[in-house]
Amino acid sequence: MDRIKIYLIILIIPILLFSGCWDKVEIDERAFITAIGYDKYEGGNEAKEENVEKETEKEPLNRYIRTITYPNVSLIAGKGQGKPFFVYSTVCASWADGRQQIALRDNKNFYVYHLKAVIFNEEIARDEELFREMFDTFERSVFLNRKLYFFVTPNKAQDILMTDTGKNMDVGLYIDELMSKENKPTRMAKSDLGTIAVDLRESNAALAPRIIKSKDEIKVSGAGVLKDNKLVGMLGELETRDVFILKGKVKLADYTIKVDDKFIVVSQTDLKTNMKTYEDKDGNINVYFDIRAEGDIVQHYFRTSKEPFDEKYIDRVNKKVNELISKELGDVFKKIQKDFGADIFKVGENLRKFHPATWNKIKDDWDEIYPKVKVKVDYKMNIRRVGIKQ
Amino acid sequence: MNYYEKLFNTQEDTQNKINMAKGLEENLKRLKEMLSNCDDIIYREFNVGKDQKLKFATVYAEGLADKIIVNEYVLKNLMILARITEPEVNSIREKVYGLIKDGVLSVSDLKEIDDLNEVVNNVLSGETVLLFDKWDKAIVIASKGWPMRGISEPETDTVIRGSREGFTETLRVNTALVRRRIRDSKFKIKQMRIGRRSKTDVAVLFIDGIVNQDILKTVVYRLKSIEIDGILESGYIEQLIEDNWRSPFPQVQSTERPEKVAAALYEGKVAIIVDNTPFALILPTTFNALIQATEDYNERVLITSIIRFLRYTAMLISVILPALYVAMLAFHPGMIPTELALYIAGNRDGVPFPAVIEALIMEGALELLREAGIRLPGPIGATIGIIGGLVLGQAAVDAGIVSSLMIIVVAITAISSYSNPNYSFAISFRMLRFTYIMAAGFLGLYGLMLAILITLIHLCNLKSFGIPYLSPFIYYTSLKDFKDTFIRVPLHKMKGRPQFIAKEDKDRLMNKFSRDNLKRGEDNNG
Repeated sequence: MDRIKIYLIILIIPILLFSGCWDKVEIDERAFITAIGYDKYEGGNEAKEENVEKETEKEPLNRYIRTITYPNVSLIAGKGQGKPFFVYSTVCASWADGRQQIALRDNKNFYVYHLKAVIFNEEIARDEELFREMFDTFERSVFLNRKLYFFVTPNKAQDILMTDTGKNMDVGLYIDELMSKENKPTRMAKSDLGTIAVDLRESNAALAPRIIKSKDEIKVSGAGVLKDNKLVGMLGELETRDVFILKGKVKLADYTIKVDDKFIVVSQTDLKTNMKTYEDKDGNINVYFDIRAEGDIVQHYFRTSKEPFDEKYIDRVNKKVNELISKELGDVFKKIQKDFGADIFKVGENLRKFHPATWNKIKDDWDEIYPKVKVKVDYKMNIRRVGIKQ
Repeated sequence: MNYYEKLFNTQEDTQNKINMAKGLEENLKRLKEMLSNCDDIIYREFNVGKDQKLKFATVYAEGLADKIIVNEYVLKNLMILARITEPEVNSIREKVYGLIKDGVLSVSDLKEIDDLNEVVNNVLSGETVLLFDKWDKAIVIASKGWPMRGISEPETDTVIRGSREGFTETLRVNTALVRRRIRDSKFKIKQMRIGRRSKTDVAVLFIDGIVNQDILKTVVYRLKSIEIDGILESGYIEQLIEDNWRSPFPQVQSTERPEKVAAALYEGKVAIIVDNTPFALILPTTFNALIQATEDYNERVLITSIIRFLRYTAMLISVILPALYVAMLAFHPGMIPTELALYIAGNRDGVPFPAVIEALIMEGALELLREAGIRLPGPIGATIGIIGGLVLGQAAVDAGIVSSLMIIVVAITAISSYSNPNYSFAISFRMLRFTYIMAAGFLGLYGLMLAILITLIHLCNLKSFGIPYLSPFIYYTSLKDFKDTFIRVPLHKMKGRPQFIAKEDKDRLMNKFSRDNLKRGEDNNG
């Protein structure tokens, strides 16, 4: 009996021990990469690495410039001084190649679990081959968080990562805070890696936030339109806001409207969007957006205190706002529909879910049908608050 | 002989009985032989009667027997008062004995014996023995009275609200303290002597009709089978009769509080009180019972429930927090929120030790401080705590040997650990913590989980006198048992005794009691 017990213990202990984690790396020996940027490698202008020996058998396959940044943690913990962040750039053939190369140049163990932002230069994003390669790496990796932000930029990703925000923090953390703050600006695209991947699978189109560098600042504004696994165009700040109102992801928006020669600002709150799709008698596909909102006059005109309390005036404002915003939203929809042919509103997905018969009929020709889809936006705002009267 | 007498019947007098001789001289001679070189034994020979013809002797141990009793109520009565009252002229010698026993000694507790060994035993336990000439029996006069510590507040197990009485070192006082809380004829105190030489009095306490007979039988059987020369503390008994000596967890609850013992007896448990120690043993005990504090039942229900929950959390923290911290830092920094991870990384920058070693050093230092604090006298102990805790910790951080976060982790662990009401239970957790830190340091969260699983398997396996240690969580008898676990339900809802212990008379609160009745009474009055 005892012998059996001993055998069992000898058998079990190695199984338990060897299946354990033996990959101990102390937390202070790690470098937490917070942002990665990719630029297209053009050749030439990068300083050639001085290869001491000609050890590579063939010409290296240089396709990307990969830039990483990680924060100076001593500074975060309030001890030590120095640069708030470290940036490394390498020319590489792939993610894995870049990782290997960079590991040669830093004393820390790189760690991507806390990666916050991935920035693609426009040129890479527009190149279907490169985009698909890279995006697959991100989606496939078990180490990457699906909540990380995926940006496209018209500038060089390297420049953006090297920006000193002046706040003693590195760009990755800065972007993360900017994107996740409580009072989210409405003029930026709200999507992360996970949503983009899902959107691309579902409707072959997605919106990625756009990041721009101007002088010493970076700003996240507007969006890049992804379609057919590549970038097809960019949207401006206000367009992005309108798109996200249509998608029902904005809760608050300000509109400046001219009523009776006065510019007044009406803040739209409690936005609720309802999208309906249907096929009409002629066989056309229709999209109908029913958007409800509450209005809040945040700016009127000094010493015209009677007007905002006049019911007729309010009605007029309501009408004007509804007209104006309905048109603006409809225009944005049409622009995306006509210019990019990208179904970022998931009209097709809506049809598939609610009108499967129709969808089965048209799904093969959806790319041709989508630009012809008729849209109607019904924006119904009602002013509920007018502020204080002195 | 009734059931309990049979149960407790011990072959106490294994020694051969030595019959007493008829002559006083002879008896005294033999006694002095048996107790030779025992200088604390006092022999007093004296004569009684008008004509001083009756020879008597008292034997007692100095310091154990109450001299006032001996002098005032034995010697004085016999030597002076007996002379004043004229005995019947023709009283035959045989009558003298009865006369003295029933008519002279004004002492409440008398016993007669005819065995010299018994005489010795009684003398050594503080009684006074009265010997007569020409008579082969002796009278034992209850005169135990040695200097004893008064009843004071217990050092461990302190409460804010509750009785301030604690057990003392005298068995009889202790049983009285419990008896005061259970004035029921069914409450039994059975006494036995354990220890070949120490002959320590051990009392087994239980309430007939509530007590679980199986447990009682086991306890008595195990107590009877102890063959040891001396029992100095109830810890000896605990270790000799507990189920599993390899386990880090105490399977017997020890307490200094009489009301805790009484409460346990009301639950159908058995208590053992040992002479010469203020620590009584309660058995069987369960994991759950060790986390309950006396006060839980004195304070109102909502507060108690929250505190009880807090205590469970604290217990968990005290075992796994440092291990979790080590595992997260060394193996899984991805599980820490980004900002915290970066902060910790920066905080640990420059610390020369891996997190495991750091944790072991700090936990070790803490245990050392605790040990030093206990050994040193009161005020100095507190000083050591402050110096050790504050100065050493601060200095270590300043020197960069340990990170300041580790100090916080260790401090939280220590505080959680001291919130456990049972000292020996808390200490077993503290020891487990080191194992866990090691496991986490080598194998990460996997190792920690492995260690926790092994502990859980062990806990599930453990029994205390036939009752599974994790009752009622793993030994389901009734839903009622869960009313006094993570939370405590109001007393009026807690109608049953623990169903896994009490086998008969399972209800403590009669069914007719209900809050509605209270209200109805109010209405009638109003």
